[in-house]
This record gives sequence, C-alpha cells and structure tokens, in this order.
Amino acid sequence: MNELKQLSPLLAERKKENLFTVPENYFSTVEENVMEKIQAESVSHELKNSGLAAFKKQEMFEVPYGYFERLPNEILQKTSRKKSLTILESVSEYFQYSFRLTHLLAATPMLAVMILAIVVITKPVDEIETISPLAQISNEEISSYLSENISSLDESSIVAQMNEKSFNNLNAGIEVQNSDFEESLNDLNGITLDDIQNL
Amino acid sequence: MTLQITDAELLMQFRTTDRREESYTILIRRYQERLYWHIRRIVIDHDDANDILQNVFIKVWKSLDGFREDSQLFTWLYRIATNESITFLNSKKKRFYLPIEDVTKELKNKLTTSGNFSESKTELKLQEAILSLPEKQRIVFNLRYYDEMPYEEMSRVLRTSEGALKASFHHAVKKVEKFLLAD
Repeated sequence: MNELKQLSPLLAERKKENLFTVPENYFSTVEENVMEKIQAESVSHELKNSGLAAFKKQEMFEVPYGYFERLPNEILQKTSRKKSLTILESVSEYFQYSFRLTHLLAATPMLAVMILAIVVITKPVDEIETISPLAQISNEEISSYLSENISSLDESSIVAQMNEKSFNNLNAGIEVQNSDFEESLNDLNGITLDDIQNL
Repeated sequence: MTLQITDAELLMQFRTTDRREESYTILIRRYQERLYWHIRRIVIDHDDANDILQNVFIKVWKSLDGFREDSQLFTWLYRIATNESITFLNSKKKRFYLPIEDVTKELKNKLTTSGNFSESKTELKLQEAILSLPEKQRIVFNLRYYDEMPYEEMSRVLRTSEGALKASFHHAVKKVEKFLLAD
C-alpha cells in the first residue's frame, strides 16, 4: 500500500499479525447456530401471525405455595435417604432370599407327593383299572352259555318265577275301578268284554 | 450447489427457489470470517463478536428479499455488521452510564485479561494504539489497514465521503505511529 508507505513507513513495514484468536472449530459452527436461531424466530413469527397471538400466554396450572423453593431440599433429602435405604434393602433382600430357600427345601417332599397324586388322578381310567374278570371270558364261551340257557327262559318259566305277591307289587298305587275299565274298553270299536275274555 | 456460485446467483436462488436455507448457508460460509474479524476488531471480545455476527446474519436473512443490489452484497453485509457493532458499544455505554473513555478502558482490559488473544507483545501494543482512536476513526483504520478496503467501497459501507475517510485514515495512522513510538 503506497499510501501507508508514504504516511508511516513504520506501520507499512510491520508484518500484519492477528492478535485475536477464536475457539477451535468456531467457524464451522456459525452457520448451524445462525440457522437454528432463524428457524426459532420464524416459529415465533408464525405464532404472532396466527390466531394464537390473540391469546395471552398464561399458565393454567398452579403449584402449592413455595413449591419451587422447597423442591431442591426435598430432592436432596430423598436422595440422601435413598442411599441409607439401599444398604438396608440389600441386607433385607439377602435374608428374604435365604428364608425362601429354606422353605423351598422343606416343602420339596410334600411337593413330590402332590405331583405324584396329580399324575395318578389325571391318568385315564382304562389305564388304571385292573382288567375285568368278564373280559377274560371269550366271546365264544359267552355265546355257548346263552344258547344253552336261553331256551329255559320261556313265558311259562318266567310266570313260574313270579308269585301272586309279585303281581300285587306291580299294581301297587294304581286303583282302577270297574266302570273305568269298562269305559276304556268301550272306546275300542267293536271289541266287547267277551271278545277280550276269549283271547 | 457449490461455493463457486456468484453472489447474484446466490441471491436469485435464495429468492426464487425453495432452497433458501441451502443458499443462505453458502452465504454464511462465504462471509462469516471476514465479517467476524471486522466485528471482533471493533468490540474486541469474542463472545460479543459472536453474538453480533449471529444477529447480523439473522437481520440479513430477514431483509435479503428486499436487498435492491444497488451495492455489492459484501458492502451491504459490512454496513450491517458495522452498524450492529456500533449499536452494541453504544448500548453498553447507555446501559452502564459509561463515558467513552471507560468503554475504551474496558476494551483495553479485555485485550490483556481475556484468554482469546495471542501473546504477541508488538501486536498487543498496536491494538492498544488503535483502541486509543475515536470510534469511527478506529473503524476506518481497521477497514483500510487490515481489510485494505478501497475508499470507494468504504464510503458506501460507512456512508461517508471518500475525502473524509482519507483524512480520517491519515489522522489515525499518525496517532497510532505516535503511540507506538512513545515508549
């Protein structure tokens, strides 16, 4: 710069150094920061132009009086109490675990019996029942027995097996009058009492 | 889309396509460093410079549709960055009821106490000399000395005549030289 050489040779001959420094990678973050702010501003601008602008921003929820003043202390108290509780909880958990283990060992035989019982109960009946004595008789033997004895089961042998008392027992509780009997018979067309007696 | 695209094409894409964000990301990448250093030399502190840079890009996003292209995009961006930086320093004065001397003192303190500076003693001395300049003269000096910006362009950025800028730079150089030779 000729102008500077003429005005001040001292300054013109000086090597221009930059006294100022900037944080590392500063210039690589500028665009990001600027664009973030621009976007944030455009959101607030949109809100201003929207119907929401007419509403006054008010907090509709309330907190108890002095809540935020007390909150830090309450949190601190809880965190310190929690520390001492954790030690107690660990000891208690150990004993609870041991107790559960002792009980489990003592109950093992009882559990074994119960499991066995359940298995037996739920097993299908045909597997449990012993084989019926009837099943041991073959079909041929049964049929020959029936053929030998069924002929003796005729009407006369059955009647012979039944005495007068047996008949009375059959009619027990039924009282039929003669007139009722006749009336019923009259309902049968053309069948007279004589016809029935002659049967 | 590549970084080879011209500013005019970039503006066209930003306005006519649905790839606004993509176009704008290229724009940020293209100008972020030059704008950052310009802002940083005015406000000294990195965090302040970062805040202002982000505000500049947000403002540009909002008004890029209305940019008439009477000047170059780069010039327009510089003007916004300069105005934002000056506004920041003025708000600091107003907020803490500080006279300009105290703001300068605070900026000088930041040079030595903040961690974001190299340990070059000669450069530190130069920066102290520059900080002793009046605000606008300081900006002119920085734009001319570090950015080597032509007076014509600087005139558009600062909305000041080229003659006034030349005079301002001359005065600034003499003061800085005097400061450096003082010890």
